[in-house]
Amino acid sequence: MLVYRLIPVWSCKAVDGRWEFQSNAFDNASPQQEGEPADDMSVVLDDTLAALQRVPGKLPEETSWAGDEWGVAVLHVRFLRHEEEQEILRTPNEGEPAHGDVRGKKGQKRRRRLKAHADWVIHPAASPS
Amino acid sequence: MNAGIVVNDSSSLRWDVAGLDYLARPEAEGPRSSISLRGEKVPPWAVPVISRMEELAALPVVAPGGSSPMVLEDVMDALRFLTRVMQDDTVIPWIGRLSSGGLQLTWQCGDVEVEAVFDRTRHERDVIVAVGGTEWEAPADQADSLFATVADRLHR
Repeated sequence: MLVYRLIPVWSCKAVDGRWEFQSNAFDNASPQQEGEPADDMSVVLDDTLAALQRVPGKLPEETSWAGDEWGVAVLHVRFLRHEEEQEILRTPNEGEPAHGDVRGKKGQKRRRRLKAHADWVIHPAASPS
Repeated sequence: MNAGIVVNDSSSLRWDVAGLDYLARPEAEGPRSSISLRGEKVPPWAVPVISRMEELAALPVVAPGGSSPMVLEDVMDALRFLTRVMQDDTVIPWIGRLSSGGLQLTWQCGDVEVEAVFDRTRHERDVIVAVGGTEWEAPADQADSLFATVADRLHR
């Protein structure tokens, strides 16, 4: 199973005319309200996406707050669970029925490992020049 | 409305930045707010670094799921670190924002990578130096000598 992470160009460095995501792209979200978990990284779940007959490459255009400045990276659930002690949660919301969260601490070293593990599915459409 | 930042300790900046508080709440002072640099010894890296910080502060969305405004103390920690380790010909680091409001600085040249994180909210202020597949780390306030071990490989 796979999960997809939307990544903006401001979490990427332009290298030889291409966007290269940096480790801060795999940061947990900051809780916006009291009681919200502090260890969740927002993702889209591959199996639900497929069941909805959607493809990860179209996530930037299908996501209301994303667009040309966003790309999509893929991570393996097995890696997240077994090598990085993360929990995968199904957390559908109004905007994304395939939404999930990768729950667990993500300090600097872990974010670097997630960066090393991840690959682009689709680069941001915006030009790095 | 721009207030100068004065830090009276041995790690003070040797030059003056005005309006830095705008980075932590850009919406409060409007789009015309800006940061100015003063002093005869403003280092050459300061202009692109501050410009990038202004860009990051103005972002409406940092990452999916929610983020906090930039934290002024993290900005100051990053500037103090840069003041200590940067030489005139050191490459300008890439700078990114953490969802907590902290900052990440990354230098990459060949097989050398230095990543510094300034994130008081999560109690992370560390520097990692990676050469090939080997990594060393140190708390940011004690990482000057660690940075110095690769400084000559981070020249423009």
